[in-house]
Amino acid sequence: MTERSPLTAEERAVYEWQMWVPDFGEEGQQALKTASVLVSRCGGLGSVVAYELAAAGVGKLVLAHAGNVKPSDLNRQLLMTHSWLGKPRVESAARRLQELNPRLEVVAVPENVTEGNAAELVGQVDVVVDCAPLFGERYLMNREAVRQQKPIIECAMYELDAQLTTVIPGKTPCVACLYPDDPPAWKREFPVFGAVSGGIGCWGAMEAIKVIAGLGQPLLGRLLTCDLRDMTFRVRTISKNPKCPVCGGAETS
Amino acid sequence: MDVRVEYAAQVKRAAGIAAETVAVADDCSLQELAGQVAAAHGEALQKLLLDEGGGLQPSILIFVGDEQVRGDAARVLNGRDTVTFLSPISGG
Repeated sequence: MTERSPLTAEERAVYEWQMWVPDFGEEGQQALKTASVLVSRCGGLGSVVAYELAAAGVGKLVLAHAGNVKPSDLNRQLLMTHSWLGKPRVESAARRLQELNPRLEVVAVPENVTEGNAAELVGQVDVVVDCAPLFGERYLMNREAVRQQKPIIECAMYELDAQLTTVIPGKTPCVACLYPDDPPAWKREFPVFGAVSGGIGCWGAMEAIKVIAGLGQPLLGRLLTCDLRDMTFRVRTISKNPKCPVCGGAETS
Repeated sequence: MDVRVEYAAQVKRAAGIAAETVAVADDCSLQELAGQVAAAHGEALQKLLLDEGGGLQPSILIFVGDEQVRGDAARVLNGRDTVTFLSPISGG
């Protein structure tokens, strides 16, 4: 991460209440200010991840999401608005984020993560928050995060279920350890409430904040599973695949 | 003996329930448990849990208690174990 810069009077005023959090304080806030995060995509999950990171004072967000706003986006993609139907998603996301936090640097990329851009996108940031609907995109971000040794937070949801884990390459299982093959049962469109995607998106943002600021214990080697039907929350231990073709399964640091 | 089986995400949808207590043989393995519940809950669950050869689908995450079990289909279960079958989910 880049060298930390002092907080302005405006920043102190805005982030006052979170700087009161023990073990965070001004140092943690400065860490956020100089940090950069890739959020891909910025839909039901990514909208909320990006919004909470913007609210927390992350310095730079790189948003990657192709396509235009559709009516079916509006039950969960909270950075999109009715007035933006038919227009590019990343533009709405950038607009809404800047309304909340005009100090935020937003790089809005009207593309989904592909083989052609994954290295460049991950290369621009310190941390990745994976909010993609397709495992192909997840595998690309994971491969680059492992290759570039960058943390990647994995958020997911389906109906009223949600999952969350944080990958530190070399220390924890990577995405390919967990999901060795593109799961045949996963479909692009699936049942979901915005409160579910938004909920896990908030916690995914909090994982990113914890990693950047060195706060608390991120979900390293642990998978949080949530069933909001009956409010069952479990933290489970997950393991590396010793034969993982991406991370090799070995401890490197 | 009895084991508790929990289903998550799409596995839960296919099973039609979130959890159940299943009576199994005393030396029941994970593989056998998967086969037993798949047979009990029909084709949708069977397709998710088992591959064409009847082995455990590699994409399904399996936990005994809160510990992931990897590549150990022959693992023999203990009475009152809780086994979770969890299908991978993504975002959007």
